[in-house]
This record gives sequence, C-alpha cells and structure tokens, in this order.
Amino acid sequence: MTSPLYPLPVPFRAREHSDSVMQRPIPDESELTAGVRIVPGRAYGFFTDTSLCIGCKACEVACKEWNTLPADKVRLSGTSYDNTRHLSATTWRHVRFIEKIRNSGGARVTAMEPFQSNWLMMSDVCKHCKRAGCLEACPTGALFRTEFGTVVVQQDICNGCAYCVPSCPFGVVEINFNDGKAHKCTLCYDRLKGGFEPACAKSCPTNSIQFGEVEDLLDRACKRLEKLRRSRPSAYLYGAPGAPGATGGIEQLYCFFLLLDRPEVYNLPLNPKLPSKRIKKSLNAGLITAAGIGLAAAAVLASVGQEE
Amino acid sequence: MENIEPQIIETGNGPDAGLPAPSVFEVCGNLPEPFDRIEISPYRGETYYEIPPVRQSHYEWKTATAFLLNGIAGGSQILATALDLLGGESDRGLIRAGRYTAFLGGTSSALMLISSLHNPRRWYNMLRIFKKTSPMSIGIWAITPFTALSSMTVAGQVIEDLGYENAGRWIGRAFSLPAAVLGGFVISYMGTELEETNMPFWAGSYPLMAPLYSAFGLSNSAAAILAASEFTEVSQKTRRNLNRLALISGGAELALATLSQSRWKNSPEAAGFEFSPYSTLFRFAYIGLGLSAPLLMRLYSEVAEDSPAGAISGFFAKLLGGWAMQLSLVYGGRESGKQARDYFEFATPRKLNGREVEKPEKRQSDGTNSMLFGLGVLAMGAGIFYLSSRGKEVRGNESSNCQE
Repeated sequence: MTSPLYPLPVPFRAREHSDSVMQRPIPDESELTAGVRIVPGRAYGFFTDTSLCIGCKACEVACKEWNTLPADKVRLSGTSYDNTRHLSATTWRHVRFIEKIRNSGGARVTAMEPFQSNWLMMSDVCKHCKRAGCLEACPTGALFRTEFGTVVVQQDICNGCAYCVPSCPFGVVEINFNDGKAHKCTLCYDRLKGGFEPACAKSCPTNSIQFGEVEDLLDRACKRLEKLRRSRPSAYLYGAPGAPGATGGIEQLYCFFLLLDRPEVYNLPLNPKLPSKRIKKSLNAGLITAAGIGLAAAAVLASVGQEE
Repeated sequence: MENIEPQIIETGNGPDAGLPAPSVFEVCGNLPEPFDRIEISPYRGETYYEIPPVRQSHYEWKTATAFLLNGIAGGSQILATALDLLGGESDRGLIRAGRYTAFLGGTSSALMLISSLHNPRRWYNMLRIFKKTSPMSIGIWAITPFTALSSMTVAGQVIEDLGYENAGRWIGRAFSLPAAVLGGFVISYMGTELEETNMPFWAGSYPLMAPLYSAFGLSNSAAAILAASEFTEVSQKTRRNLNRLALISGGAELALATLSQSRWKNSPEAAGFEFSPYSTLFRFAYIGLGLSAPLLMRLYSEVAEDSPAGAISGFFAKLLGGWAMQLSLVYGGRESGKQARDYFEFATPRKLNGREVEKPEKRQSDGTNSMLFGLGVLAMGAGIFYLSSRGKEVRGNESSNCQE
C-alpha cells in the first residue's frame, strides 16, 4: 500500500484506523464547526489571525493527515522551532516562528514585553489569490478555479512543465519529483464538496485560522483589527483588497492574514506582482525589435537582388 | 509586576539588527488601510532566516538549449523568406540552407522542450487550450504551427530540388510566409517567458529580455546563413551583404546585451546573478566570445573590403557564446530565486504616496567578477589592436600591388 505522492508504504498508524461509530457524515457539518454553510458559487477562504497563533502546528499535522502527505526531509534548521522551513509539494500548511528580542545594544535582555512570549507565529498556506499567478501561467489548464473560488491543480492534466512554480509570488506551488506534477493546498476541495470545514481550520485550537465566506471573514477581520489596535498599533491586514499583499494586479487574497510586523519578517512580499500584467508590452518590445532588425535585413538583402 | 510599555521591537535576523527600529506601518484612515494610505518604512534587508520566499524555477540545460535552437530556427526562417522574396537567383542555395535550419532547429527544440517536462508523455495537454495570460502557452502555440509550416516549407524545397522548380518554389513560398511571421514570435517569446515570472533577476530585466532574445535569434541565424554561404555557390557581393547583415544584427544584439548587463549591475534584484559565476559566463563567453569576437571579424572584413573572414569560425563562436548566454540566464534566474533579499527588493514599490521609496544600500561583491572583466577587456583590446594592424597590412599590400 503506497501513497500516490510518495513511493513508500503508508505508515502503520495510518492503517490502524477504527471504523466510525457514525452511520453517515453529518450533512453540512461546517455549519456546526465554522458557522458557515458551504454553497457552490461563493468564494471561501481563510482569515489567519497571527496574534492568536501559538505555533502548535496542529494545522500542519491535520493537513498532512487528511491529504495523506508524507513528511518532508526532516532536519534541524538551527534557526528557530521551524524545521519545516517552507511550503512544498508535500507540505501545504507551514507554521513560521519569528523570535523577537528587544534591541538592548548587545546586553542581555532582562525584561521582555508580555505579548506572545516575544514570538511571532504564523501559519502560512496557499493564498488562493483572486487573480492567481500560477493559474494564469499554467499552459495546460491543470490549475483551475473551483466553484468555491479556490485554485486547485488537476493532477490528471498537469504535465510538470513547472512554469507555475516561478509564477507564484508567494512560493506556494511546487513540483513533486516523485510523480512529476505540481502540488499545492486545495483548500480541502474534497471536504468543501462534502460540506466539511477544511482540516487545518477545524484543528486550530485558538481559532487563529478561521474558515468562511471571504466577505464575512473580511468583516470579522476588521472588527478584530479595530480591537487589537488598542494594544498593538502595528497590526494590519495582509491580502485584504487594496492592502499590502493584494497588489500588482492580484486584487485580493482569499486566504488573508492579520500581521504584526512588516511582511518580509513573515517571509511575505510587501508588493507582490502578477506576472501576466506585462506580457503584452514585453511581447511587443520583442516583436518590434525583430521587425526593426528584419527591416534592416530586408534593406540589405534587397540591395543583393538589385545588384544582380 | 513591572508595567512594560508596548514598544517597537526588532527582529534578530535582519542585517541591521541593533540599529534603531523603523516604524512598521503608521496607520491612518479606515480599516483595512488601502495600500496608498499607509506609511511604509524602507526595506532594510529583513528576511525570514534568509529562506527564499519564492520557489526557484526548475529550468535546466535542456530549456536553455531549446531556447538557443528556437532562436536560430525562427531567425533562419525569417531570413530565408526575406532572401526568397528579395534576393536573386544565385541565393537559392542560401534559401535552402535557411529552410533546413529552421525545420531542424524547430523540431529539435520542440523535442528538447518536451523532454524537459516532468511528465513528457502528457506534452499534448499544452494544446488543449490557449491562454493569453501564459507566455508558455503563447510560445507553444507559436512553436507548434511554426514547426509544422517549416516542415511544409522543406517539403516544397525538396520538390524544387527534385527538378519541379516552379511548383516547389510556390509551395515553399506559400508556407514560408506564415512560418516567418510565427518565427517573430518564436524568437521573442522566450524573453517574455523569463520576464513574466517572479524570479527577481528575470522579472527585473523587463523590458529588455524579449528584445535581447529577438536580436539573438536574428543575429545567430544571420551567422548561420553566412557560414552556409561558404558551402554554396554565391556571388562575392551576396557574401559581403550577408556579412553586413551579420554586422547589423550582431551590433544590435551587443547593444542590448551591454545595456542589460549594465542595468543588472545597478539593480538590487539582480544581485544574486551579479555575484554568481553566471554573470562571469555571460560577460566573457557571451559578450566576449559570442558577440565581440565575431563582430570584430565582420568589422575587419567590412573595413578591409575582403571576403568575409572566418564565417564558419565566427558562427561556431556565436553558437558557443549563445549557448553560454542561455545557460547563464536560465541558471542565473534560478540563483536569484534562492536569494530572499533579491525578491524582497523586487517586491518593494519604487514609489508610494507620491514619494520615492528610499533605495536600499548596494551590496558589494568580492571583486572577482570585476577583476575578470578587466582582464577580459584587456584581452579584447589586444585582439582589436592585432586585427586592425593586420587590416592595415592587407590594405598596404593591396595598394602596393595596385601601384605595381
């Protein structure tokens, strides 16, 4: 028994499951767990409030469990509690740890700010952009927009051209060299179809990851931001329409974040750009150059004909 | 318990740790703040433990080689069509060479591109749809009909060679005209494909990359046809005009390559490329061997009014230099994708709230590249001096022969 993504036997623990005591799944379970009914035709996403994240990595584990994703090459990064380091073809949720030490001119810090134990933590995921660089770049149509507004790779279409990889402004999509196809978070497309909340959001113990309709999430985020600003004036939304992260033609991130420091500290770009915005101008520049040199060539070659 | 006032705190991983912390976002207005209504402090090199925020491209030597072949194929079809329409009867040999080069180059580049896929058996999925937002899709829809039309052009050429001259010429011409139009896309889309990504070096090269690729394709195909003239019966005049053509296209390519190179030198998002060995490869193998050396040969032939010197060696120098250029650009882009700072520099707006955003401090290289570049310039200077003195010698001998 092997996983389709990893040619190794599925671990014993995964096989030791017991049958459910329930006769059937609860219809529209997400109404009970996330307070939202999942209806095709509406846009769904995540609001990740980093001020609530405790770095427990339950989301990472839940994602791997549900999607049967194997562990990456585990090794100590030596920089923080983050040994996963980045999203990959087999890691679709990733918790970042940023240690914040007050500047004390080199002396040992004896007093610290009583906020999040001087750590910033953030659970990163595919942003399911309103205009997605990966989707626009995909030449096969393997990357498509689902009926829930999310961006998913159709594994039976992808031919592994890997052009989506450098086209994503957030470093999300990646090729799995075992099957030669692109992989990324599907926002639990299969669960959404069954009326379930995505695994990561359901497993989050502090509600740092909130799932819902994007418009509702934005309202919720604004209220949270207003409240948080009283103690943390540096808080802001990343990926909300018009805000940092939703720039350069991307318009909006359906999975957006509440951040407390500049985006680069969380390994996010301040002003990401949609690559496809410049295609026309770039192609025109190339064609005009070709035409210019071509005309010069024609002038030279025409003189050959005349001389003869 | 001591009451600690909230204060701006510093990440420990930036290169400026220990300096006064910049304010993050001075907030004003409604929530959430529109991008143009917030104050953003200049980027000062903050990264997340230097881990790249984007995934690097997986292009390798196969893609680089396919780009080289694409350029030569597309350019050869354009030049062969121009010769067919504007040239004389004695140019048929060159037209034949151009058409075969276009067909072989197009076919081999298509095969090379298919083999570079991670799932090559599914290559045809690219023909399911056409996407104007994907340069790769545009490229595939240029290369596929280009190769098909080029093969039909070659079929016409074969008919002509079999003795059915009129029929063969008309068939060849009918297919070569649309093939030449597509050839324009084939030679230029590759620059667009690299530019329209989030690899900081490639994206930061906008809008020079596509023109550089166009000039590259035409210049290399001109060199190929000039080399072919050594094996076919063409007049001395035609050969000289081809030399002039190679000089013009090579000059345009050199100008664009030098412009791009000077831009990369001053651009923070190209630091990963500039400090890598690929920039040295670009300067010496491409600008030196692949561009300057063949251009000097063409220039010498032009000045000395001699028959084109070193057409074949010039073509091979261009071919090797061109391959080095493709490899340095492809691998240089990958290298820049590994540099977190390069990407953040690229993703920092140049202007915000009507004000210029403060430019980051320029990073310093260890000077190896500059030293090698200096040596290269000296070597090229010596080469120019040698060739010009030889040119004078040839002209001196010619004038003394005339006097005799």
